[in-house]
Amino acid sequence: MIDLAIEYSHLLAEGLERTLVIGVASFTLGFAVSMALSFARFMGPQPLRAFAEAYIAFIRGTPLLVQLLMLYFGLPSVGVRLDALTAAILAIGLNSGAYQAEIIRSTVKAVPEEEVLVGKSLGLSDGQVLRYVILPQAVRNAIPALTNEFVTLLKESALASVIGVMELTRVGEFMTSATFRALESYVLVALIYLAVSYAFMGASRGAERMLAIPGFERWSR
Amino acid sequence: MTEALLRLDGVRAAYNGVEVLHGVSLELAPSEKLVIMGPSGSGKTTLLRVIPRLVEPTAGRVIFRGVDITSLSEPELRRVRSRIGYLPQHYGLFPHMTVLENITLPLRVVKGIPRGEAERIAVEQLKRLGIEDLADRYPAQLSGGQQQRAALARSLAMDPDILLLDEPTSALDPESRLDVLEALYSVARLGKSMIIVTHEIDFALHTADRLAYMEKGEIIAEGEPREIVTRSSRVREFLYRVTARLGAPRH
Repeated sequence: MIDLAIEYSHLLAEGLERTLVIGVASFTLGFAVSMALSFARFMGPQPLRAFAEAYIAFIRGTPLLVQLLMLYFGLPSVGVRLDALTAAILAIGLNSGAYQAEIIRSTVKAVPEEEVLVGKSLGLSDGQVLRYVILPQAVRNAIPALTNEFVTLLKESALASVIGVMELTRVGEFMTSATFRALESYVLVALIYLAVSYAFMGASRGAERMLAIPGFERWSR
Repeated sequence: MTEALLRLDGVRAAYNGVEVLHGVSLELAPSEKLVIMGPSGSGKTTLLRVIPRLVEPTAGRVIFRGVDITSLSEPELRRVRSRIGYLPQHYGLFPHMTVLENITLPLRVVKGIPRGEAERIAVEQLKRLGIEDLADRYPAQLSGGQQQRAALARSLAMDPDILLLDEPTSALDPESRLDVLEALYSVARLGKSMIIVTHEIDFALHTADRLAYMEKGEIIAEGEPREIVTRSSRVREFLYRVTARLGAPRH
């Protein structure tokens, strides 16, 4: 397997880079979408709230692969043609936005009502309560779940291989067809996913410790 | 008679369609101190929250300094709220900020006071309550009594016309309770109007100008504290249940 890794190291590195690009870009897009959905949900007028809920229901109720195929093969019929990498980032990002919005919702709800009431009673507006009181706590508390979402998304990026993006999984397929050493090729690819996932989970622990609220450290070990 | 600072006129309020305040009326003069007592679920907390419209009244009027709060727009309401200090039972300190930041945040954001001046005001209030050495601590690093005093300092720093305190000593251990009571006595001497939901009968008898007793969403007895305790057997029975201090009620 080591000889395989050495022989295809160049291709594997490119595949990993592509996987990370899809992961980081779609996670960032997803975070932006989740913030827009959260503001719509918590502060928007009724039609916007209904749209946000419908969007989340649609994304959560349909397979990511189908969403990806819709964007890549479906949109050209209405005149929108996306390259495979863009389609993958867009599909995975729009999908992740719904899940990240659910994570933010759960951590926003975990902020005690008394703090919100006190914020208002001191004369803060709803927006100021959200900005100074709720979000700093909600985002901190969301770090473990958001990291989990990022790692999930990194693995889901393998679906991009279906539309021909040369990411890590696709490199595995290529190696298999070139060498007929399927087990070794895919184990190698799996080990790379595992290493990257663990590195991000470790980094998240560090971030949690750094951002922990003094007095609450015992909960963030 | 001096004009009332606060007047509630037939105020009703409901949670999820269930009415919990059935037309409460009361008046408070400037610098007057009113203690509210009553069993759990009698509407005491809701009564406090309805004053700065943290709970919207379903009927009636809340008149503060001559203005009907129930008819105010959001921005006008926010200005009025900053004149009303509200302390919930569990302090409501923001856990991600130090004590100093908890106090300076509303001063800076709501009143537009520059940071340096806001910090000076904060330290002054912390000194008043004897906790200036805790300015850089986070709420979770403080005892219950220290948190309650920090929350009190945050309210006082806003220089409100009235303080609304919801059971300030009920969640505390005996030692913290005494610290907070001492702080409350010193705040009472500042001459600010206060409405305090509490079962601290000593505080009521020595400091309050009036006592109101609530049951099932209504005020059923109100007057000078000693007189109410003497006159109303319902109040005496209640006090006996919560403090076991006034001796067994006579039947």
